[in-house]
Amino acid sequence: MSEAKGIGRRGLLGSLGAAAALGLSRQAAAETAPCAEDTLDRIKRSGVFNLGARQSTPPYGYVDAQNNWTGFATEIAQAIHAAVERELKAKIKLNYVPVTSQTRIPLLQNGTIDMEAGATVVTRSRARIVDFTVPHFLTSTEIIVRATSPVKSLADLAGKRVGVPQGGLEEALYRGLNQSGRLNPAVAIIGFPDHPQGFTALGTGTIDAYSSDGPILFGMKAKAANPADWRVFDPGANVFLQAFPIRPESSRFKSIADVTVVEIFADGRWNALYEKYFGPHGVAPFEKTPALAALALMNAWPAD
Amino acid sequence: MPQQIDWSVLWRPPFGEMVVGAVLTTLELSLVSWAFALILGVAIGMARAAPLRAARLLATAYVELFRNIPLLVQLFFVYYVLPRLLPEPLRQGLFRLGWEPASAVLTLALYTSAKIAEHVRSGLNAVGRPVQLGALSTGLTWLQAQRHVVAPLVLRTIVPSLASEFVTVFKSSSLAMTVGVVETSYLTQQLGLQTFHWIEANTMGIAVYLVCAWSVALLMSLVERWSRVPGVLGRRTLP
Amino acid sequence: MGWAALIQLASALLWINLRLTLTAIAIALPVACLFALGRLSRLPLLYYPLTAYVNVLRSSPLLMIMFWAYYTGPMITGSPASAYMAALIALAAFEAAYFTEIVRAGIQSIATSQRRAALATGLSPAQAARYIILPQALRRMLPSLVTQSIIAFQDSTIASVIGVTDIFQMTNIISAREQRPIALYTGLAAMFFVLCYGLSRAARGLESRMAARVAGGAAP
Repeated sequence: MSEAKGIGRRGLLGSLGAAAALGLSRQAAAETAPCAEDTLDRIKRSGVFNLGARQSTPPYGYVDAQNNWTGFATEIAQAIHAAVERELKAKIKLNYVPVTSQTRIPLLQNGTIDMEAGATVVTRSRARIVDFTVPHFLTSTEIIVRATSPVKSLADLAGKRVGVPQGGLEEALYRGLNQSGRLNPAVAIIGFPDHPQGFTALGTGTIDAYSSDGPILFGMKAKAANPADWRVFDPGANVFLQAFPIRPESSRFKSIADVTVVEIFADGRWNALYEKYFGPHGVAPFEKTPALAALALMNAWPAD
Repeated sequence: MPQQIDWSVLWRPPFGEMVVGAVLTTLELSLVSWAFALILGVAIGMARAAPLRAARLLATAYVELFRNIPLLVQLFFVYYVLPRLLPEPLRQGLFRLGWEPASAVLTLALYTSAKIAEHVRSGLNAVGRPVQLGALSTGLTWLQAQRHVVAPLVLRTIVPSLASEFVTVFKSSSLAMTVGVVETSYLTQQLGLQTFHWIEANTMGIAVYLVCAWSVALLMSLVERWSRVPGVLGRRTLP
Repeated sequence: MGWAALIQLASALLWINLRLTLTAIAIALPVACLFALGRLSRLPLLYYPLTAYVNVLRSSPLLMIMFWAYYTGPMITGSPASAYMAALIALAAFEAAYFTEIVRAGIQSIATSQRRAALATGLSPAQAARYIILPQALRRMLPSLVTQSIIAFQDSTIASVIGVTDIFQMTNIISAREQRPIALYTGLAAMFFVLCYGLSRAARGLESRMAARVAGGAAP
């Protein structure tokens, strides 16, 4: 068969043609991009609020045993949905779209979701592309190891293998630590597509430590078959805010979302949610740091 | 958010060197796997017609095993489970060496060798018998006959099938990203996440694979022309 | 680990992987028949785009095509798609390219006398294709089509990379929770082996039964 040669000529033609078509269609799409309208108008028009939520990232977002979408971030997002319904004075369907740390921004950009409720960190590069609601949480990058591991601090990681989520800020963090010489010998950074894979790798010993957002690690530990086998510690490398990304140029939607989040802080619901998910009997027991308490104070805006 | 297409994202620092590194990784993964797969695959393929029944059965089991399990499942098995089955010092040594690319190469090589073995078997069925009998009748042992007479002929007749397998190796290397290997597919996602220029990143990714496929096709058509068996079978070979 | 996990796995397998594969094949096969006829036509308007399509799709990894369908496609078309839909579109498009080549080979293997005879009896080219050529071509290429479908079933696990909770992703989640990767991944591999091997043996049985019926290889 001349297929071997066929791929050659035709493949080149095909790829050139595809690139040309792509260029043309991109111009067309720019005029009808899904984010040209305010998210609130989009929701009103379609009658659906597409929420990007996490399926298996306790305590932020997960599907419980009764197949309900729940979690710290998910519940706050549900409150925002209720506020949107009140604002639009109409019944709006809340459609849960499972997202991962890699898919959340692109799905927001291409219009599949209207807002993401997970554990998204507010970073400068993201803030140039998307808008963030008022931050509802504050954490830091932490490390989970086997309880029997000799790794007890950041310095102990030197020369070891650390797993990180692909597409998160941990990759950049550890690369920076390697380059600046703070971790010497350098630590091997291995990116995993999602948290379950990273945790499995930790369990099989393929990596020495897995590093991600603190509460996520606490959640993984709590959900594990034997939580006592694992230890989570804070290496003190960074602190960051978490908020919900939304599409830019959606100021009306943003103000509804912001006011809802602030109300949750002001009327005590945030504390209740915190107890439910991060309290001693919660999904991922996580002690409230002074920084987090300060955030709760800062976001409890007065009514007028 | 209606961002302008900006192709310079692909080459300006620091992304330019990331792109080059990732493409080189794809090439390394594919070529090394292909080399191992070819050697292993031809051996197993020939073993499927061996006079020794045990060899035939083993070879058949090998081929069926790797053909019927999805590549992703094989990859995860090799990456997560295989080290557990090894003694501790060997395991640590493997990890230091870079178990991510090593496991990808291992999985890809084994999987592709099973596919190549199948093509070799088809080739044997098509042309093997008379040649084999002829070779054996000149007094060569079975092994000598395979090595000097049958295998070269069979290989020359299955070049088109090998060509498509070679292209498939490049495509299958994309799955290595699920075990953390920073190759082209991983990079398209990385690039997209850091620059938010998804269209440029994904187009670059597909372009890389197209160029690989095109190059392989070109190379293999040259090989085909060079190795064509005169008079017996042209390029129109096996169904 | 219990029955709950087993039920989760089984339902992911049936509801996602099987449904995805069968739906993709149901879309890809008719499309492939049209494309195959198009590629055999002499019209350059049909031949070149279809050839480009087939070659680009067959040279690209399914993973990249899924990324394209999930992230970039909606950016261009303006209409978002769920991960499952994106996986379905990608798998259908991918398999269509492969099926097109298989069907094309099948059509080419049917003696041209068939086509001429069909036209001589007054059938239009389209009718000839539909009632005479395609049925024979499909029957002849059934083993290749089945083999390709089994490959498609295996490839459906790639949907997990764009977030579809198929049996592979389910295995990952349960393995992380229970910390029993050896048992789970071995079990998953064994399940696929039994299924795919069984299907391919059935296909071979089908092939030999058909060969026995169609003695000589000409029209049955």
